[in-house]
Amino acid sequence: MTENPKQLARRLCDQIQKRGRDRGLLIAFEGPDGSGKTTQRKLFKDWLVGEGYDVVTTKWNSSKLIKPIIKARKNMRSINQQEFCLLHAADFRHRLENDIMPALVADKMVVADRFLFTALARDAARGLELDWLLHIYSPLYWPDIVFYFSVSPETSGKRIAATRTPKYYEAGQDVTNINDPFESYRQFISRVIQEYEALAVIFNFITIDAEKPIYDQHLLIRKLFQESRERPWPKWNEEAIADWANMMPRNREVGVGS
Amino acid sequence: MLALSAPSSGQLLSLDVIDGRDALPAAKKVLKGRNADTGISTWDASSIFFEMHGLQIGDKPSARTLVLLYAADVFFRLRWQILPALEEGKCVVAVPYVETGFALAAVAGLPRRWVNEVFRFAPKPQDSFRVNGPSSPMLAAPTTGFIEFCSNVMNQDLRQKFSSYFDDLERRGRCRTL
Repeated sequence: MTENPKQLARRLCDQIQKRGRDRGLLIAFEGPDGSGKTTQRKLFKDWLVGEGYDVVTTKWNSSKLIKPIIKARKNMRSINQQEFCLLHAADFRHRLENDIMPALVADKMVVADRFLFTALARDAARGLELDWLLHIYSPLYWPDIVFYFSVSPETSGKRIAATRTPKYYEAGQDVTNINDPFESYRQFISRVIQEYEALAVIFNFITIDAEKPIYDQHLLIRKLFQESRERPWPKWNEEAIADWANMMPRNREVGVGS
Repeated sequence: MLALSAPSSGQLLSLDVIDGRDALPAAKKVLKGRNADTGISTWDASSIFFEMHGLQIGDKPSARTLVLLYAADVFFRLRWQILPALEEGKCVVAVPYVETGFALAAVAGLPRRWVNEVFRFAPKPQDSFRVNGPSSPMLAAPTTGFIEFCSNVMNQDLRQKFSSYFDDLERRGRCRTL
């Protein structure tokens, strides 16, 4: 007899819990542009692979299905805050269902270069209500660990300006209405960082001082990761697992560690 | 997020159809005999679904992802078509409107509370209509309408399920058959 979505979700949750410290973890790297999180994510991923873990990386706004749609509209500067939010939420959901959840139930380590909190910080900085955003992105799958790379708006601005001119939406020019991308970026990233700092407290991020030397940060991340391996699986992720089981095509075989 | 405010000068009418081929003729029928300037806003004015269909990606979007994309299209239509026309005092038929998004959520078993939040931005129409049932036994091409698109993605003809949703809606006095 084939199991229904509820039975499948129950089985998956039970199996994930039984795997204990051998289960796959979702580790999110969050922070403003120019905080060095991508550098740290790459170093961390290489280290994990060297330690023998099976690692999957997922990046913000990267689904094959929705990324081209968002990119075309960003190039035309034709989307406003709400459309920006809804399209990114669709991209996130698609990656969660097709890349992240299958990897986690197969006991892989998922390293996310930006996760849900990027949307919360940026969209809240664009003036959208946090409460509405949390609804749009629900059911939420919470990462096991969130590393938040903390930098000042000045450092972020300097690091970006050293390499390139910020793009229209990256600079928040859609909401600041400032013609100078550097000035717009300075103002917008201050708002984004303010939102991140609030989220870091609410959601218990592990804050990394991203102004410190790169290798010092990397060593700290390794240490914090090893300490966090013992964390129990957050049971509030059951709703997201149930939703995923319900959304999945009926013919897909799913099993933990399969 | 608060609902976008619809200007009091115009009139917003919603029309939900099962067969995408019925959209324009039915919208014209709604507008026939009205004295005011009129306008019609149709599905996928943003071309999100048309572009996605052209991508030919193996991983299909889930119903939840489709609802989010549908909401993005409705928002686009409100911003560029519906609200500007209402500001000019026109009578606008939105075909389809938010109930089609609610219908997909219901068909897929998504929580009502979630879909209410997704469409919180959409102003309520002054009057709502539906076209009863599929007009053809053959499902039209995926880019004909949202229900055809969803049917293609989900590998099943969803027209009867959508029709049942609108039957129920009509029984509760929330829309009228055209």
